[in-house]
Amino acid sequence: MINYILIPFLSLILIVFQTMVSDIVLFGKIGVELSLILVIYLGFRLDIIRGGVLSLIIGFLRDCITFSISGLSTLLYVIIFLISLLASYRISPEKSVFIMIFTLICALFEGMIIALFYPLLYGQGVSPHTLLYYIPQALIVSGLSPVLFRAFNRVEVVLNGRDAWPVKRA
Amino acid sequence: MLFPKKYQSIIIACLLIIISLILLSYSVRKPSTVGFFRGLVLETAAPLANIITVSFEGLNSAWNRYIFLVGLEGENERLKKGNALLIQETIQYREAYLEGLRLQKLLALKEKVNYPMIAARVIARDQTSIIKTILINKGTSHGLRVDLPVLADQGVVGRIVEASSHVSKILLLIDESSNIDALVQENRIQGILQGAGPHSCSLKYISKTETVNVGNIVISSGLSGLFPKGLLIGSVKSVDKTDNGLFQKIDVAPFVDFSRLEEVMVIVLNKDDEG
Repeated sequence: MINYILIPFLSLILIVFQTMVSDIVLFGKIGVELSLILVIYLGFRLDIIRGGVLSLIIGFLRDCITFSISGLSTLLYVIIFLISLLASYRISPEKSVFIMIFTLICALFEGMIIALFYPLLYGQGVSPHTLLYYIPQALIVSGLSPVLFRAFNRVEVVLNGRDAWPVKRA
Repeated sequence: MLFPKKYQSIIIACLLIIISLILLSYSVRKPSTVGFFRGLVLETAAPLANIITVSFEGLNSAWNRYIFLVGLEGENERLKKGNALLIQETIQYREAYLEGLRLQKLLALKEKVNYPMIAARVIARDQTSIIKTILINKGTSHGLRVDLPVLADQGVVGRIVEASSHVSKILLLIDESSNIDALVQENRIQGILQGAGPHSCSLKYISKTETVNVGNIVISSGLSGLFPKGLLIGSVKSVDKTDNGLFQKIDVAPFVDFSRLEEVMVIVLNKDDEG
């Protein structure tokens, strides 16, 4: 139960951190969505109930802090979690290249969904400039994913011990 | 379990998506509503954001101040050069400003004295020797000649004793060979003002029966014909009647500070005015 309080809190710190990094270090020119990697990680590590609830919470937290369209991030993170969950049957989180490719696909998918939802919610399309913004962002997130996967794994070990939240499937 | 295990995952997935869609539609319908949970998250995030911002700023500051010093030496050198240039410029401006102030005073003097005047710059001074003189940058080609009186804004400086084409020599009134016909302004007693050393003059031939007080103003009498009447010379510094002679010993402190003279005015008197 403690994980349902601790992980959202750590996620909140992560989201605030990534927002600040984007704001201060990268001058708001590019976003580094570390929380997306966390959701993918959850998809690979947890079962549908735990992972799903946590993804929902992380999405909601991100919505509260950064997203102008509240709820969109929650929906996206739930979908990405479910996709990761399905992918986890085929891809091993130990293989960095697969993780990078999968993260890149998820980040591009996220950008695409936002671009699709934007006109539906605001009545106007997203400029090509904004669409191009997602490509380097997806590449950066993809590049960081193996490192972050290991880091999240270390945190998991510290919090629960390696087998406390075992991989869903052997 | 409420649902068959076979469909459990699908049902949970659908539930999660439905909850997300409900949140989204609620937010779209009421975009400005903050809500309790949203407010709670924002309130929690604010101090965290503050801590992270402060940490980043500290790191950024440390990086810029202590680590990222590439090009600092060059910049320092450039700034030093710039600073030297600015100081030089400031000195020049200050000098011009002070000169302006001095010239303004001389101009005021020109308006007070009803004689044509020529301004000149002091180009050399010789006050260490026995003869106290200064050189000015105007001469006969500018209409100057020997015996013309020279003034500063505070009062009489002396008279021209030599004049070449572009330079004139001024004998200062503190020189012992300088004699000016003067009078005490308060009681109109007349005497001869003679130079008496580096910073003083003495007013001679004043009878002991006359009353002269310390602080009395001494002006030119206009009698000798060299200096027009009423020009300020100095003030009485000391009066001594104890001497055995017929006259008092009166020391006069000139108003002009001869060591700081930079510009002077020469009164261009006609021969007729002098007479």
